[in-house]
Amino acid sequence: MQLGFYFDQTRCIGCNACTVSCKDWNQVNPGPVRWRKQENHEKNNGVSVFENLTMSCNHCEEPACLTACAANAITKTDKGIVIVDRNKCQALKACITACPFAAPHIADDLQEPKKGENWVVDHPMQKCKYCWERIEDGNSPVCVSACPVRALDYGDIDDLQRKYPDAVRMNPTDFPYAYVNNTNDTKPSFFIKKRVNLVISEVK
Amino acid sequence: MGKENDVLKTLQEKSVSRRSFMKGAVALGAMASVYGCSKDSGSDIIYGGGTVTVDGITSDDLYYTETPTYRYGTSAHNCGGRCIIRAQVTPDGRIVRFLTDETKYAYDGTSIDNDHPNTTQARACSRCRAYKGRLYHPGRLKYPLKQTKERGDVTGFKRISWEQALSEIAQRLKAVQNKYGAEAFHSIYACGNIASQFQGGGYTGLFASADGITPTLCMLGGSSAYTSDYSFHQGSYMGGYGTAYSGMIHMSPTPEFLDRYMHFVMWGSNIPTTHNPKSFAWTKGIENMKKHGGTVKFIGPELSEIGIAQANEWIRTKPYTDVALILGMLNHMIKLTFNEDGTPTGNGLDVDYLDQMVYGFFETPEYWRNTKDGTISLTKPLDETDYVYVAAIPAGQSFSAYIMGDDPRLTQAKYAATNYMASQFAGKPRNTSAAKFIVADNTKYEYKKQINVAKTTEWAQGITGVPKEKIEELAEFYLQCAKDRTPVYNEWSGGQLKQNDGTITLYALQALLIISKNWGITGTGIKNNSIGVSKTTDPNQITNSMLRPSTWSTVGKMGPHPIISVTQWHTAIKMAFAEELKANGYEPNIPDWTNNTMGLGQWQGKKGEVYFDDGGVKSLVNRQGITGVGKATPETFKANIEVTIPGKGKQTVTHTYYNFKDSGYTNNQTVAGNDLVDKTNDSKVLFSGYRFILNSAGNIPMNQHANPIDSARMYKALPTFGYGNYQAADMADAFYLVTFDNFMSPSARYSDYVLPAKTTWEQEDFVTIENSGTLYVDSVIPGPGESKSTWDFARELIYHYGGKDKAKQFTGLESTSSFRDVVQYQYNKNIKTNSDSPYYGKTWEEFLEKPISHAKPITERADMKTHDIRAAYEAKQPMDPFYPGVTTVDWSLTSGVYGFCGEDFAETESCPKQTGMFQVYSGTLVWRYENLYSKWHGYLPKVNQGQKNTDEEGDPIAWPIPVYFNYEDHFVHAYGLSSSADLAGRYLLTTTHDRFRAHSSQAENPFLRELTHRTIGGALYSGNDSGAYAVSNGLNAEGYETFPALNTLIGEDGKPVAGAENRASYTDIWVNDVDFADFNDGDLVKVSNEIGAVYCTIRKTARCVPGYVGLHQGCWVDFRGDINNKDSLIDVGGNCNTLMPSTPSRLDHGNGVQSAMVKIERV
Repeated sequence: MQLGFYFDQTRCIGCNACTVSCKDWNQVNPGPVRWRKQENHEKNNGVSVFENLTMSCNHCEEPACLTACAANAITKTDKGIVIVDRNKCQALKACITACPFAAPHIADDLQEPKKGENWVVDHPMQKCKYCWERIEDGNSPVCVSACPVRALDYGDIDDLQRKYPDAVRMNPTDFPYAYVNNTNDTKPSFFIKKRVNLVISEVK
Repeated sequence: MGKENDVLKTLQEKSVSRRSFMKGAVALGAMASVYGCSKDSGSDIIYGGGTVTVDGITSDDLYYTETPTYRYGTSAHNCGGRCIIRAQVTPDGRIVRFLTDETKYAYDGTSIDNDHPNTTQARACSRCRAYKGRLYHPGRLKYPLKQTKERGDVTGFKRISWEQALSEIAQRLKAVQNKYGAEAFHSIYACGNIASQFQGGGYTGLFASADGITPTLCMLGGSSAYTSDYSFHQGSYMGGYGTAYSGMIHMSPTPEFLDRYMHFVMWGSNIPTTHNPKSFAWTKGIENMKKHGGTVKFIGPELSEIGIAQANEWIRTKPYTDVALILGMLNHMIKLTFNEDGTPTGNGLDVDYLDQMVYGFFETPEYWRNTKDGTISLTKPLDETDYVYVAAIPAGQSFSAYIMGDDPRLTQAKYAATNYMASQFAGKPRNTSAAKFIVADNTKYEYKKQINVAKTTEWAQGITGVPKEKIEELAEFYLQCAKDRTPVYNEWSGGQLKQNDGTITLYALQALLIISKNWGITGTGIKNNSIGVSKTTDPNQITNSMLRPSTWSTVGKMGPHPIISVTQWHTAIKMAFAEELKANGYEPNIPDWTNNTMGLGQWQGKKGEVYFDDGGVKSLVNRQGITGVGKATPETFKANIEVTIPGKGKQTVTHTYYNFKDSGYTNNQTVAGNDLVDKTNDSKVLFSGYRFILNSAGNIPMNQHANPIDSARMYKALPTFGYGNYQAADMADAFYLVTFDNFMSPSARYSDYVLPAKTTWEQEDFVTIENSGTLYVDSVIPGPGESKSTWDFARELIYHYGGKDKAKQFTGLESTSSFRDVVQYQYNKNIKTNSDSPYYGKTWEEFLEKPISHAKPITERADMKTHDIRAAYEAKQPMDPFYPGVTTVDWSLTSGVYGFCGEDFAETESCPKQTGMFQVYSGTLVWRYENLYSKWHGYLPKVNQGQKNTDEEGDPIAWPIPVYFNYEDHFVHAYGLSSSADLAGRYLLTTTHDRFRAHSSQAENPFLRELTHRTIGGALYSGNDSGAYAVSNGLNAEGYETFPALNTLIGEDGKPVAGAENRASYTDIWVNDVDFADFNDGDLVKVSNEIGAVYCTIRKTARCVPGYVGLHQGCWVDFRGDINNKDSLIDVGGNCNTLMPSTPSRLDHGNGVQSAMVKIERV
């Protein structure tokens, strides 16, 4: 089984209910670290576009972070969720650059003023954990249940592809702006319905 | 350093905090200690450290439990919509996080289709999800505070008891009312800090005063009221009365109707952003429409979020040029209809329809219309009983003459016997002259220079920036929709109208749809904020009337009183205290008032002086003992006055005026018209204006209204009682501002009393969830310090004002009963005992688990309907006379005209009657402007009553047709400039509403601030001034609570304080990426004009058209420098209103604060 996300780019209105509810639910303080980010991208392969993207950790089938972590702090659950054990993290930061999408985060003293009891470093890596406790309880990830325009969905990626046949898997050709670190193919568990081109009139 | 910055920025974009990489270089220890939650909240919102095991995996979720407790709530504090949030409450009584609505079943047990546009699952947006940042904010107000030094001095607030605060407030309020009448007390437009209050008139609409005075205010001696609101004043004013189009406006599509082939034109819309309950109804509805081949056009200067998601096409325009765009389209339509020699082409507009049903498009002579059979007479009938007089359209002044300018074709296009109306004028040209408007010579205003030129598509292109081919395409699109009867829905936006000439934009939009014949079928029309969830609510749900204390029906009501524009409280204060302001050194920051060349009259500080000739403010002379609570029929007097009556000539008629204190007139006395003289300087005439303002969790007084520099100067110079340099000798003669709120907002800072308010989750509330049913919101956690609920504040103030019996009358129970007591009483007595109730037999605790009964979505397909007037017209033959009966509302009567519950016109006889047709030339619109509030103006001679309809050059302010007023003209006037050349090199700024504030509230919430604020040079989401913004210094040993500047991380020089460079955050101003190619994204800039200056970081984006900048509204003003020295004064808070002039908008005198022209320079 491999759980993943679905995102409808034609629905997202950038309200950030997903990103704020993610912080709220997971007790992430205000500050730059955000497990889920929402941005509007204005260029795609040099072409002017306006494309919204909300993205968290993509819980890749072949997670680059996992293989990069020398501390063995990152694991994949039997449902395909990529989880970091913050007690094991040594803040080696290899995961940060290995992940094509910059999904792993490291906070600072301001955002994370209190060190965890069993942490070996002040600020171990943190990232989306697919609200796995909620999944175990039969609920959806908090971002999915938050979305006012129902632009997010979740489930087993085979089911998602059947449910949304016009969605494409996250890839560097269609969504180059998502690949901020590298374009390695990690088989991201993220499927997107793409925005159709917007015609923009000239300003005289 | 530059290179290093780039590296760090890149890292930050990759989500690694630059501070992690700079650790050690930045001293943050002190900040960390104030970070996050207040100590007394006891919350510990730190990620990590949990040890619960779920299915064999150790969870680090601190608040994971298999049996969480959730409580229902909703948004509060100035959200336009109402969604559902649920708070997870810990056993020790803390709220640790939120979920939204996940209900799957409606009240009748049917399942809710969550992918249907009418789903009644009411999901909340980021504002509600961020509520923890508000609840546990360290800056929450905790104690009643009283200003003791000077108004506006943040070191002068002394902690006092509630007892002292309420008794002093009640005493002062009474003193003011006893001397100046009930209307001197004004509950200013405010959101309130409970949800239903904002909705006005809901159960706890305690202090809402739009269009009426609540029982609470009546129990406090009565008050004045205001029209409409700050958001939609122009739309409310124009809502169809100029054009008689209102009946057709309401054929808006419902979400389920959109499931067909039709089109959607968004004129700058961003309703799904500002009004979240509609976001999915729009999203899914439009998605369905597009499946049938329908299209979405977005027309505007800034591509909104719904435009990004849904538009097929973005027609980029310069802001506030919509009228010019429409004129260009109409010009093209006329050219498609008539050849150059005036012969009809057979294409284009439906000329028979225009002749029969549209008044003022072409010239017509005067005639009398039989309202029974539609026949007309060109001469005055002997018996006028069934006739309405229709005035002639002056030569060269029809709407089409204005559109065609010097193009002569319509002077050759003769009426022929092609339809009944045309046959009456057969042989005459449709326009006897090309455009022939007479305006001042050597005018400095662009619109007058262009008034007689042809409004061609080339002309429109030059103004709007839209290519002429695109304008022609748009014109043809509307014609094709009309021809095919394809619905085309037009959504106007509040932002498009919140400018000086916004009323005219709506007039022009209506004219476009009228002229192109796009009306009268479902889905076609124009509206704002109308497409929302269609649903069936539970017929047995709890309603307001079930809970409202029956004692409220015994409360005396306010009789007729002037209801003035929501924005004119400012003028009402200045009028009341004109002499004191002058004596106390107030200098207006209003160029068009201080510059005596502008024709409004230079500020002199004379008794009763008003800025801008506003009829509402002029009504506020002392009527103590004449109007007020229980005065259902105030005293009047009469005057015989000669007026010109349309179709009848001059006649002497009797006008009725409301009496005023010490007028010398007895009730019903009749005086000769020339006995009405200007009594302004009569020592007996007192200008009551507004003297006591209650600000219930609002931020209008200092932030959301234009020009806070002027406001600050005014507050500082207004007389105080018992403290300060400018003390009034008599308690009744001081000015009072009382603020009841959650934070020390800019408005609270200028208040005499600041009272701590609870917010949702801390107080009980009863609200209507827009997408579902009614919801009782219980209090879940205690409020900070001595904060009170709105209910308790109102109840206790009434107790101090009127005694124990009044407090009992307020609650309907005991004088100490809480709102929960009231609801619980009704619940136990009438609700859980009712077998039809969804809560039948449930205990109170069981009720709280889900105190809402979900509405059921309407999923049946909606049919298209034809409006009965359109059907009647289409059933007629062209040669049949037809009296459309679109509307015959007489504008001299107040019924049907928004916002005026009393009769406000002294005369009715001179009002041009509505023609029954659509009107694109509206004499009534002009009449109304000139005569508004005249019934309250009996202390003035006839010539000074109503509102003066001439500008300083002697030309009309209100024109009968939708004229394009070049936006530069407004700025030339408001900034005191000599011509539009003085505006060269500036950017046109507008103030779109984004989602991350709600007007001037929620500016303090760190979870929302970080979405709109950045550090200098920082990447998106680099801002984080959590714990350092909107905080208090706490109480000192002497009992004073002092407050630092709102943003403690920005120094006196406007720059970050040392060590805070990576936290000090500024609001983004959106600029066009090409215009600002020489700037770096994130540069700190100074944005300034004649009114003020702000600091912002720039966000370079293609979402703004060139020449345009967007400073999103709602930031809190945060001055650095001396309020009296504007050259050095900077608002580092980035409040757009710091740049906005005080000029009220044309016609409606509403809120024009969406537009400015500014210079931008790098700091």
